[in-house]
Amino acid sequence: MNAGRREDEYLIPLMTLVLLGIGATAVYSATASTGFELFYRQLIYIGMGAFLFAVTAFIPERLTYALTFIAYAIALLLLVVVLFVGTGPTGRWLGVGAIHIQPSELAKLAVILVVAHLLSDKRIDLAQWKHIILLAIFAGVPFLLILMEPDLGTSLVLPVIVGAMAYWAGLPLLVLVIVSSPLAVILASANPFTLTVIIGLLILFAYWSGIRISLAVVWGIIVGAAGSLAPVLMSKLQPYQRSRLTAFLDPEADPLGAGYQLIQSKVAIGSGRFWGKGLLEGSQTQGGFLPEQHTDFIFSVIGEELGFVGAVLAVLLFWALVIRILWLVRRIESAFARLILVGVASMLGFQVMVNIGMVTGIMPVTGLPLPLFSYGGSSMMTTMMALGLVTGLASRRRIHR
Amino acid sequence: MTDRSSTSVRFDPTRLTAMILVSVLVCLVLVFRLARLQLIQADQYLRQSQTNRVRVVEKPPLRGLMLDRHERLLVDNYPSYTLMAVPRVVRQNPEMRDTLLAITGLDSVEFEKRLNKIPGNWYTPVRMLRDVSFEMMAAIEERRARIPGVHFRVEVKRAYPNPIASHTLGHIGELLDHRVKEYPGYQEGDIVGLAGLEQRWNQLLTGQRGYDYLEVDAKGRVIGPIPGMDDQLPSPGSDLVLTLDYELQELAEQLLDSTAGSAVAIEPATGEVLVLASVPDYPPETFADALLPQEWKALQDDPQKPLLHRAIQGMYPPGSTFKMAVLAAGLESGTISTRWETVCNGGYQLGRRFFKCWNHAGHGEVSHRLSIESSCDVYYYLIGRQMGIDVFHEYTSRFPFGRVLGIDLPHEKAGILPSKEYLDKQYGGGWTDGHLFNISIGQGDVLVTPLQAATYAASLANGGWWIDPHMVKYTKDDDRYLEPDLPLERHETGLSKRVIGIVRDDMLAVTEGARGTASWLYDPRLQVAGKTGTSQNPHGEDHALFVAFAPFEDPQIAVAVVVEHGEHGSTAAAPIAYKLIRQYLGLDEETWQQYRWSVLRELANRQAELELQQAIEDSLANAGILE
Repeated sequence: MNAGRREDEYLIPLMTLVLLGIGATAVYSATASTGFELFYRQLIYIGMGAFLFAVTAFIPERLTYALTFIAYAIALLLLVVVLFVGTGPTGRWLGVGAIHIQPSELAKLAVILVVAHLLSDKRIDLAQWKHIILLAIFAGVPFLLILMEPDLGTSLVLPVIVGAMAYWAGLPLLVLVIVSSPLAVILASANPFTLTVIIGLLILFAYWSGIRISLAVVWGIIVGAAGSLAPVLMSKLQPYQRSRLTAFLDPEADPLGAGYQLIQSKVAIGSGRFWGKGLLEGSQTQGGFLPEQHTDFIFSVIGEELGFVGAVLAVLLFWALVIRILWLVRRIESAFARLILVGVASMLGFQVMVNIGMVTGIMPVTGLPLPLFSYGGSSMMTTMMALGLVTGLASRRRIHR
Repeated sequence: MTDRSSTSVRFDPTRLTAMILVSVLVCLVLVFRLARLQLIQADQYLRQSQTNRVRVVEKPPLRGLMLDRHERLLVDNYPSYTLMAVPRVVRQNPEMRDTLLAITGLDSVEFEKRLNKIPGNWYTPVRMLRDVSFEMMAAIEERRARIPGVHFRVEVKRAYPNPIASHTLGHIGELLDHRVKEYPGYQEGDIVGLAGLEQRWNQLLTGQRGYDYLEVDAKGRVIGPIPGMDDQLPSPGSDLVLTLDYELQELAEQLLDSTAGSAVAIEPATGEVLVLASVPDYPPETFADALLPQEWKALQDDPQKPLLHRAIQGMYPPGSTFKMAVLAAGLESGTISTRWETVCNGGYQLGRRFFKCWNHAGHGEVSHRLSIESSCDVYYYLIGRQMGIDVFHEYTSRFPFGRVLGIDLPHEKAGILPSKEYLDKQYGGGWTDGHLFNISIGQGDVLVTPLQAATYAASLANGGWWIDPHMVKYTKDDDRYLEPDLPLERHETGLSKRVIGIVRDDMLAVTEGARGTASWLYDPRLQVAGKTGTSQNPHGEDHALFVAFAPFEDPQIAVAVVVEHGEHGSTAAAPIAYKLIRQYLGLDEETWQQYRWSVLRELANRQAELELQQAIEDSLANAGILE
């Protein structure tokens, strides 16, 4: 036991720095044709992010633990406030003077903290349904508040984070599958064949996990019914959300409308080929063919101008970061800290997957930013604070073996 | 850290491994996806990205002009402005749509339709409105800041400084969807020749389109030329020097005015068409602007059929003008000899039916000369019956009947020259000598176009051959004269010089003989060889026809005139032909009108002399008998 011995974590700050460099270059290129104002602001955000990284890295774990519920309460408050006084084109921003923040971004971090706090509590037993429900309420309130903004993309990050953390905390896989099955079924509801196959697999999995066959079938039927109600649910979606979903399913159906971004993004990335067109040489990027390219579609700049080489390098770097965080879990003694690491890793991993999946056309357009790359302050703050937290926790790890 | 925490969560290496595996899997999926886009489908996307940024600015070449045979301008160009819009930009600015709708007055359905005609990509401008007025241009320019993504393109419109021959010249316009197949290499919306010479010679008149390759950004703003893609300069279309004679054509249209009909004049030796008139017509600039549907419908539904190019599409029974062909057939086939005569009592009894001659009093003894000169029907009933349908068809088809002559104009009609097969098919074998009678005098099933009639006159003028009638004399390219791409063929009737000579002499008698049907028009300066015709038709009064060539010794012009429901060829059609011939031969019409009466007096004297001589001869003969 070498309790308390510091072994500083350098890899995470290093990888973060490299990713920030590539990301800033991409923003520079994406905004080059419109003047450098946005790029300078992004540099300021990076600077602020670096500051927050440093601050959170030095906050003692004990303090973090103590502040969890306060942070959570503040996040909830902001989420409620933004519903009433939200600004910006989608009403997701909260403005105080020159500073505008997106409470939904901060809420992700708050949820990681509060779930880590709850799950690391000895009294919480994930074998008990009421404890699971308690957990679901803590995660569910901000989820619903974000959904009401409405911000489907960000709200979907929360269940994923909580699911990953609960799994790590020992939640039986079966429960995870059961809880997440409605989502899977809804996503598959567009195609009756896929829906049937997925429900069949779910029933088999449930039976295999030791549930009585009759119960498994009843559950399958209930979920299936929910799935067939999905089209009804679809009609309740915001028009832009619906068009984004249909655009994902068939981008060519409306080439000038919702499918436009998707097609242009694929054209940008595909035309980059192996070596890319060179920095500032991408005709798609420099010609402004991609609206929002410096925010959600920033990865297409990498794809076009730096080619397959640059794009794969960026993907691998992100995954090195995620795996590095997961790897550090091994060497940390504190369950609270481990849970935070798992939460941050799953948040990063999910956002990167959804964002790059979106720009390459294998996932729906959800409007999730690419961490460390996309232009924007709130996402930068959240990501940098999360990474700072992880670095700090990892550096103060206690080797207990 | 409180003791509530710390060890409640068991360290489970399997779960950690599972999570790492899941993230590696996701990473692999993304890398494979990138490989698919950037390595496997890369070429396709590269192409798309190139067409995305390239705006091909079409530079329309100047369309060739059309001139008459003496290079008088018939079809000219002037610039017009077309409003173009970049669909993507319009879509991104919904308020701009309303502004444009208000200014242009387009209805929103039409607006959307035009906007959605995406020729290349969403940044390729599409035509919104043609021939924009200066007021509208000013209105749009004023609001430039609020309506990005629109600009004007200069396009050519046609002008007609000498407005004649609208059917023949044709018109240009936007190529519509249902006709795209007729124009290989052209796209819907291109400006092409849609009718007449504009259509037939479209390729030559159009020239080569030029292109500017410009790099544009997503807002349609031009960034600059694209390195390595050189602009292609347009090369202008060739001018057409037509065979038409402006003054003669104009005169023909004037003379036919207020009637329905057609006049065709051909230079016999060359097949050059001097006049190709069709009346009623429409002003040539009618189609220069897009017609309103109701205007178009009014033109199409007009019972006078102003859109029909009667000279090449109107089909008329040739009536008596057909008789030269039948006479030549009879002589050439040996059915009759030059000495063969018959007696006309005003008609012929065939079974229970009496076939009348137009001259109810009868022609008396009729020779081939009189049969043409005075147009005896009975003579031809008998030749026709004697020949039978096969011989009839074999010899009359030597003339330009029953086939498309291949004039360089679209939609020429073939007419009908009945054969045995045709009659069998038409009447199911139930046809009789009566049909043959009718056909032999150019009635019934025989149908010819005015162009065929004029070419027929030309073939007689030439002594048995004709050259394909055509409209383009030569093409002009930067002042270089080129032969048009026309396979002009000389067609031989194969009829003997002797037979043609006889027929020609008989035609001269029509205008110069004492009993000639057109002798009242006698003009000793002209030497017109002609033939009148009056053809029955189910639509009303008889059509009046006249075919002729002149001067007899050295024919310069062959003419056919048809006046629908003009009743008599001699009175309605022949005077028009005479005026055309006079003008073409450079003989003054007004002097002639003054001179005419003295000539007619002379003619009357001659006839009186002739009759006196006849009377003396008769009395001498009677005296001889008495002796």
